[in-house]
Amino acid sequence: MLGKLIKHEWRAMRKPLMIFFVVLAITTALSCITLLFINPEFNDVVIGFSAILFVCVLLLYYMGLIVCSFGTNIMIAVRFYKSCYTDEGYLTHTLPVSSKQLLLGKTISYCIFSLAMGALAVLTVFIIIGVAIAHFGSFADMSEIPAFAEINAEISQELGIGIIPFILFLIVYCVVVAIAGIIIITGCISIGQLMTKHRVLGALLAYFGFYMIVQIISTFSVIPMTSSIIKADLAGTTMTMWELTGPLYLLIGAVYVVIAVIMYFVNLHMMTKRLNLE
Amino acid sequence: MDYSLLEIRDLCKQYSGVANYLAVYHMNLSIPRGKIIGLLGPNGCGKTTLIKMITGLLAPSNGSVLINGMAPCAATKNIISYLPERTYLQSNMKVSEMVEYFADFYEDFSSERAYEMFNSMGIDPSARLKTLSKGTKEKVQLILVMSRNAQLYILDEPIAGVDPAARDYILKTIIQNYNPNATIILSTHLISDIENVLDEVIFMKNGSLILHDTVDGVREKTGKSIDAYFREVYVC
Repeated sequence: MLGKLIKHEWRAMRKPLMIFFVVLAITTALSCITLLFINPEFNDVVIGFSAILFVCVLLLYYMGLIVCSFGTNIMIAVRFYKSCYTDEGYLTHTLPVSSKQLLLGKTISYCIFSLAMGALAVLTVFIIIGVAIAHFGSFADMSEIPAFAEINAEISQELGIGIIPFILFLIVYCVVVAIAGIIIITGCISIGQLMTKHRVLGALLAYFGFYMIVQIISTFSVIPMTSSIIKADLAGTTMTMWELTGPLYLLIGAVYVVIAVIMYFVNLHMMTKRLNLE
Repeated sequence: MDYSLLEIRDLCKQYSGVANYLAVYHMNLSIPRGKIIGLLGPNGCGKTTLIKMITGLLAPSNGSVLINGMAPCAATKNIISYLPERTYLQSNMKVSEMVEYFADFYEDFSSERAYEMFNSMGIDPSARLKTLSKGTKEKVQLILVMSRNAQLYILDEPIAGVDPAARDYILKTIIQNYNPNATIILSTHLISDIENVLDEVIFMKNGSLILHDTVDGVREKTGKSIDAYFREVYVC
């Protein structure tokens, strides 16, 4: 049954997702094409114009990235709300599946959509960087470009952590926060159902409450970071980027995970014990 | 153990918002197998609330609902075929996609039977639901519900939104397509249209059960048709 639930979620959401994919593909292609017009061997005026054009297209790409990223989350929220708490909920909640399976099926589907969108966004960044390297590399003297080991050593020293472990950490962090974010969004929608009227407003208020919790914890967690900087300054030593921001990332990640676990069970409780379709 | 198909014990539903309004009040009911039962009462008497609690869409404030001896769960949803009083289909889907959806989830669903009924009603299976009229959507929904070989059919206002000509066809569809060992609970205001197909009637008033008897029993005791007796009981 879980497989069937995921299959039908995919069917219901594939079209709007495809629109986002097409938007990203078009903005990436535009960015790459304008990038190819920048020829360092032309005169300054032409380079200037093509660089301005490239910046404009890059802004468009960035906006596309934001729209797709937020759009995916909004689409997930709308789909969850419509399929569970509007008229469609009458079918959803009378399917011969347990509430646990229903929630798990939806959560897995939404996480896959969100991660697929994230992976696509990263892929487009790599495509643009790849095109830039390939294009400008043809004008550069390759012997002047430092080797990866050299770059790695320099960046690792600045970061205080190897570049590969840092990238792996970032990937795991983004995946965890994305999954937790989806669970929190769906949980907030269910909490909104506790209100007799204005249930969407209730869901928005619940999400605002969660956002405030994360902001307050982030603000307070900056205090030990600032004191570490002052201590290091007084001691005449320097701190690496990882020493400064690593604990902050871990703390915020842990907050997301804890709230997501709570929200998952709140959501399950709402679907089993407090279901109240209008 | 031989359970009634549906057993309702001391069931209550209280809505907290509206001055703690009691939509269903200490209701007890036992529904046997193989009957067509009319759930009758005026607007706001608690019929839909009762149905929602049977189908697991609403949590009771007190008491219990047992279907085949089980509280509403995945297993009970597997044996109940429910038609709500509103359209629950996804409007962007095609009729054929909804058939596939039902066939995927309900083991007792017959796609052949559904397509036969679409054909006889002149409904194009390739049409998107959002392009259909309200009445046609209701017919699609009813066909999907009646294409299941369920043990308990719960039909909430199945003929309210369709023209009188279609009503006869829908009632015929219901009678012809239900499993004779199954029970149908039919909630409606249009009593004269359904009176002839009913075995039993349940009258509800202000959230309480005021009558549960056979149609023949009511006719014998009152000397009136169900429709006439209903008008007498619920006179304004």
